[in-house]
Amino acid sequence: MILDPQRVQDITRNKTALIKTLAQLFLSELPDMIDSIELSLRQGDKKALSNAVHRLKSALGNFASSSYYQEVGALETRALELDATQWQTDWLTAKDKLDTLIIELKQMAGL
Amino acid sequence: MDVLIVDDDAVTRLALSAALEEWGFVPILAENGEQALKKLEMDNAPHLLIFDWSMPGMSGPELCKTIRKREDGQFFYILMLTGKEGNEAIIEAMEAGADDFLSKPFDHRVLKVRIAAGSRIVRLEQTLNQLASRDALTQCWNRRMIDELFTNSIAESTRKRSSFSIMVLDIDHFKAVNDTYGHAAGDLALKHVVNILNTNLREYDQVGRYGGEEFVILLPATDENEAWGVAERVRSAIQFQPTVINDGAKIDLTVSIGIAQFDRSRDINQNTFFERADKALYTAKQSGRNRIICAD
Repeated sequence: MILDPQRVQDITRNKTALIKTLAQLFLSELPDMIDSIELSLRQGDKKALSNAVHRLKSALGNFASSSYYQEVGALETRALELDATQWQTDWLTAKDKLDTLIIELKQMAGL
Repeated sequence: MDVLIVDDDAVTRLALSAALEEWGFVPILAENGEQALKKLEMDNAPHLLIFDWSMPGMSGPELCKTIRKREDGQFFYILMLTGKEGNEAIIEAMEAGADDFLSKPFDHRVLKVRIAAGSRIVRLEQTLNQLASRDALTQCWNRRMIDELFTNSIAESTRKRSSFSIMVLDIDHFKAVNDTYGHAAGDLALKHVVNILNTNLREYDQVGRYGGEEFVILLPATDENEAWGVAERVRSAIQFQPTVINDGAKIDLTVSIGIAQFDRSRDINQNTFFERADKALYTAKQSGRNRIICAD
């Protein structure tokens, strides 16, 4: 599981309305976060890429399992020492997990 | 208690904000360092602050350093949140001026107790500040604080080109009150005078106890004529509202008041300005007391 349901419950005190609001806000911000990452990657701008991944990581800190959070954290660090091909491969893996997290989050929030 | 949350991530701001409300705090939100600094310039700015470390523009440590450079003596308790881990990050955050540090993703129960500890420190600091700035007997400003407010009022008057007046007020024959009724009654009389001052002054006027029975009153945006009106209201209220002491006896009091309006062309500094009002008070005393004299 990529989502950390216990964490979401702790943050929201298990309030259904708050879970829904947080999930909706995250899902509305997510496309822009992903676009920023992929644009920086295409432009080869390491600093911008690291910042864009950091933004995603910050938001994930409210939902994701510790291992997935660390994985995205590693992507943020490695963005600065870019081996573009390897990084892109790892990003695609992380993105797949992100899709899983979205499904899990929607289920939990009843969206 | 208000808490300023500075984080560029909207989801984290919302999560923190909801948690703080649940714990009885009032969240104030800023998306970056620049917005945070503006919020801290407001009247009644929050003194408990939660910063994200990495933000676009000014980083958390840079924001800490900027806040710690303030010269107005205000205390801010800063809790830094960061995805960084390890001793180096803690040292960097604390050296930048943070009071506490929490690594993300954090357990909200830990955040709750850290915030509670921070709020206790902010309250303690506010209590100390209150003790350091108020006169213990009358609860009006003490001399140190009224001097500081005096300096600020001159600066404000100069900046806004607005009028500014002061009153120096002294209770007539106060030694006789102490000698006749005792010091406890004298203390009641001082409190009574301050109470009358607070009732008769405007919300933005400031009262400070300058010495034993001498008070300084700052009257912003007030010229000499308006100051006279305020002074006369105070003088007559004190004359006609005697202090009632414990056994029901009444102590009649009168006051003498010197007034001066700030004059940029004559008052080269705060002392010169104060001396003009003080001399006017001296003249009021010399010419029979229970009166108001304006400085030349």
